[in-house]
Amino acid sequence: MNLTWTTTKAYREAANAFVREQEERLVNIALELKARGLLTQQEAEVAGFHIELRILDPRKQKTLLPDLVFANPCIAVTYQAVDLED
Amino acid sequence: MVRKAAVCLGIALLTPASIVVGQRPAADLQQLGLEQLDPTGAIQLTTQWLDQRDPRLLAWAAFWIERDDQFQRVPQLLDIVAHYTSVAGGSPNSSNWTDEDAALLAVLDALICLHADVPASQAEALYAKFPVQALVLLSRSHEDTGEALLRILDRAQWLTDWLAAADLLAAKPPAGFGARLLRVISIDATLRVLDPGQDVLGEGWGGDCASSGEDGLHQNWPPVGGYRLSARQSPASELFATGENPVYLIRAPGREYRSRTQTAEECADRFDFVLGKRPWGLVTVSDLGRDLIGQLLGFRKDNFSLNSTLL
Repeated sequence: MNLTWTTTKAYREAANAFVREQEERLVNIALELKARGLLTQQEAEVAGFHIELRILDPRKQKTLLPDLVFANPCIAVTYQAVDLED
Repeated sequence: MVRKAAVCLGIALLTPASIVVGQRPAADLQQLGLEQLDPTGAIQLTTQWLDQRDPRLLAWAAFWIERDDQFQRVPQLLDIVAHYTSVAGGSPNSSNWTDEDAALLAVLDALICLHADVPASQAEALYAKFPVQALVLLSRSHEDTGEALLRILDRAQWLTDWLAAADLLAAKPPAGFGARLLRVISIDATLRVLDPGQDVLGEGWGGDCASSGEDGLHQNWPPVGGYRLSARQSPASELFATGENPVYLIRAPGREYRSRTQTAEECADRFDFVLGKRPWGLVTVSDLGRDLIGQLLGFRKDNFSLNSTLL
């Protein structure tokens, strides 16, 4: 996903919406598996989904990006500055 | 060469086996023309050498059993496997590779070629040192192999092993399979923060594979089938497990006594999995798990994604 930097609030909201969308998708998949008898109720309840959100920063003016904090501990966030001249 | 072998065979049959084995230098074995030995002579020599403790002789016996379809010897080969799995452990680490392991490679090749039914528990126990052979034997077993394949799924270190086990399991998913697929799922998402008007970057990927060396330690041993699982179909391959990402089996006869035949194609297999819609990186277990989940839910992999932005 590409996000044009504007404000801290917009950045955090976009990232949260993005992660929420992934989580909902995974939960729906688990429910579909359960509906087909491929997952028990207990397995569905404890299923943890690992999401790694990689922040790529190719901006020319690399102002400090605000931290992204998620309630789900299975979400890892990494940051990588990208230098276009390379 | 064959005539000389027959002469030597005659001598061998007149001499106690232990003495024959003990006195014959290794170089003689090569000169005997054992590979071309006629079936009648091979049957007689098989009887003697199958009981020997010399791994090389056992390998030759297994070679003839396979070559001449000596189905009556299958129970003895099964006994050898049973004994091996009851006492042998270890890992597929090459430094831990013994002549006994090499001999078992020939025994397993014979059992596979003769379509013998190896007990599932023993086939599973073979996985540590003979992963491909173990999977082949499990795939042909008449027993319920669900639990054994799940355990292999948990410990598989090679991507093709994991995929092969998973494809076999997906045909009749046992309890716990769906949860395992979910467990390996990892969504790797990228958020690019751009300046207004900035173009999207392209990303690339790369990798390298080390080629395996020649096995120079088994020059006087018989040819043996080397087994390899591949995600790529080739003229020499046969379909091993169906699925959205099918697995193919290749048996390549040779004298390389290794648990797994490694070639440059093994490396290329990984590159083949890189799909246009997955922007970078090589395929992962997570990718395959996602495709399998889609398969279980009735979706083709091209139409199924867990990451909504990659749709």
